[in-house]
Amino acid sequence: MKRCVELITLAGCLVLVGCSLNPRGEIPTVGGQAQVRTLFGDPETISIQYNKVVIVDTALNGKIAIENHGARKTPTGTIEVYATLRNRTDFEQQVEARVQFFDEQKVPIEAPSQWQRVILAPKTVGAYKELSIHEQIAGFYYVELRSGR
Amino acid sequence: MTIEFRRWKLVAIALVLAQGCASSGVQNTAGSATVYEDASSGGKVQGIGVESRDIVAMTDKMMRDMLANRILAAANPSPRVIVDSEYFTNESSSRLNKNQITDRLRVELNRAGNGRMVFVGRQYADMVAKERDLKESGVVDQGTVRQTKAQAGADYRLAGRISSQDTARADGMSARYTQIVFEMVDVSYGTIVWSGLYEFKKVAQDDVIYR
Repeated sequence: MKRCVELITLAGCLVLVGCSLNPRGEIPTVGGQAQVRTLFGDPETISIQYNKVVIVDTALNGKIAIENHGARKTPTGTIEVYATLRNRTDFEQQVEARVQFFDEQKVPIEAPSQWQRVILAPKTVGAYKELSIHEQIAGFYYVELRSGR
Repeated sequence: MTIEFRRWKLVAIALVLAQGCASSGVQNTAGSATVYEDASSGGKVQGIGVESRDIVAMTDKMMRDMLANRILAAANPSPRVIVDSEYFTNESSSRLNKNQITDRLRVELNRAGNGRMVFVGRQYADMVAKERDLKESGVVDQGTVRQTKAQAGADYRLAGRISSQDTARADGMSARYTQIVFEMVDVSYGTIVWSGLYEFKKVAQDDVIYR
């Protein structure tokens, strides 16, 4: 009987621990990986995952796929960040993107770039590219995506 | 099972309960009302013309692109450039002060450039000439910085054009396509060493007045 009570209590605890999961029961993660469906996280409760593309707008959930992203150096030593986006819907989608650069110690080395608009025709692929200001080696980048306004 | 072990088990369960029910601690509400708006956002009043968010976004993009250009940002010695609105024309139907675009571009480039480009303040040439006259006539001393035979000459100068195309419907809906071209011209040779293009199209009721 006592063991039964303990087991029920433990089961109740496990259910309540589920409160910490997001409403869809997914472990919150932030950031996209190439070729992988982006899990929609809750940016205000999740710490920044560097070198990621994050969709910060719930309105884009399920509509935009991040096919690829990365960074490379330009001839002048600045960094160019790119993200390949795919419109998964039958409607034109307007997204805005911006990037912030961090050094090796994850300290922001400049202000975030301004929001730039990317218009994606139905079922098509588009690209977002942005350049850093500083020519020193930028350690990390963080790209944010939202609906066009 | 000992009483001590059972007590620790209860503590562990209580800790798990606390963790499970922990909220994010975020007060998800809007901030206080204010008359200030973000200059890089659309704002409450929007039309089809060139607005603050367009100026902010285009100057940011052009600045980053110029800093990635080898001729402008990786030359040794650093080239001297003039960025002003003298040769930046507004041929669009948008009413705007083009100095806002060129001033913002120059300031952002100068601050971010960190010596990769040297900016010549040609719009201040009269001011510089007066001070040089005072120094040469002996009315004032030579100052503390080095003397030069003449004011700085430039290597490259900004030129550009804002143009637009309007379409309107009988019910008051209007569309405007705006194209802004930025170019850096070699003022000795006449070649264009860098070009940038920023374009957008807006559709709305054309009932906003721009001043």
